[in-house]
Amino acid sequence: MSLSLELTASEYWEEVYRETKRVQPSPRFPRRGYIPIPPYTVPILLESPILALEFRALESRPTWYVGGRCRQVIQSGNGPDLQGNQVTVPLNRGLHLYFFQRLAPQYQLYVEVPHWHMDSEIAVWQYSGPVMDTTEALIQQSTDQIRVDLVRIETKVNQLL
Amino acid sequence: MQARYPLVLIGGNTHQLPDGDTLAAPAQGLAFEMANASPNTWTIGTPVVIGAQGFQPGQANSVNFAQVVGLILSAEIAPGRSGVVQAYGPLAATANQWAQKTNLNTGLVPGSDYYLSPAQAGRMLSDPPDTRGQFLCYLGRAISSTVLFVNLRPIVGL
Repeated sequence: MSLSLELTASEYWEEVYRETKRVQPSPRFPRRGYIPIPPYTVPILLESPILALEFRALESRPTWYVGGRCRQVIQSGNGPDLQGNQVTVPLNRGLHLYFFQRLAPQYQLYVEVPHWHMDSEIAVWQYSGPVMDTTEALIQQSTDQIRVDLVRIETKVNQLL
Repeated sequence: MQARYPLVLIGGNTHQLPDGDTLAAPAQGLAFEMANASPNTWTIGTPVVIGAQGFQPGQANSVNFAQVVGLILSAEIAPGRSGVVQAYGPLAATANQWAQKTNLNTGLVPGSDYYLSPAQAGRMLSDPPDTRGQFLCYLGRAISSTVLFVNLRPIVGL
């Protein structure tokens, strides 16, 4: 598959979601314990399979690598939710580009944050620009070239006979 | 108004600042030491916010990361290492170093105000952000092409 995209055009990128979450103090051990950030679903329906994701945490260490895991979830009407691809997004390392499969017109993101993170900020940018699969065009171009070559070879053979 | 001499330590003894000498560091209270809690190395002039483990680069696109406490004064601070952050007063760096922070080819523009960038972490702009959802975070005013007078103000949500 060969895609033709315009990722550098800023007008095709839109920040569709940004949210900061924090751990909750434990009711049993309010001074020491805490309830980790629970997994959550980003409350918007995404349409583009091309996303830029970022995780940030203010209270983090430089050695922490994983900011969170995001999984594509497709709702199947009255049936069960279908789990799609999952990506691991680094922490405090800027926006990262991800290509999800176009499994359905719309999907949601299910997010899991490591339990030791005290705070977590997610940013979701959606690409809304043109997505053209150039594979068919390349095949057509090659086929046309072969046809031209074939005619030329046939003409040469006919001249020899 | 008379000119006054500050007291400095020379060889462990207190002296008036000798003529021709300059102060090597900002006065105590205007700068502080802090660890780099981000996974990247940050250089002089980077606006930073404070977390429990140390500082992270500031960015004016979220309330947590827009609350700048100062600009890095050390030449560079590697991940996990400590360095000096300046909270107020003149901060001098080379025109090249400022150019990296402002995304411009030149140094600072004297008289211009500088704000925290909403698009790039640890950068600054001379144009204030005006997009809804971003934060206006004033950092200071350039007093020459190489010196920014750091003068932080409370952030404003747009």
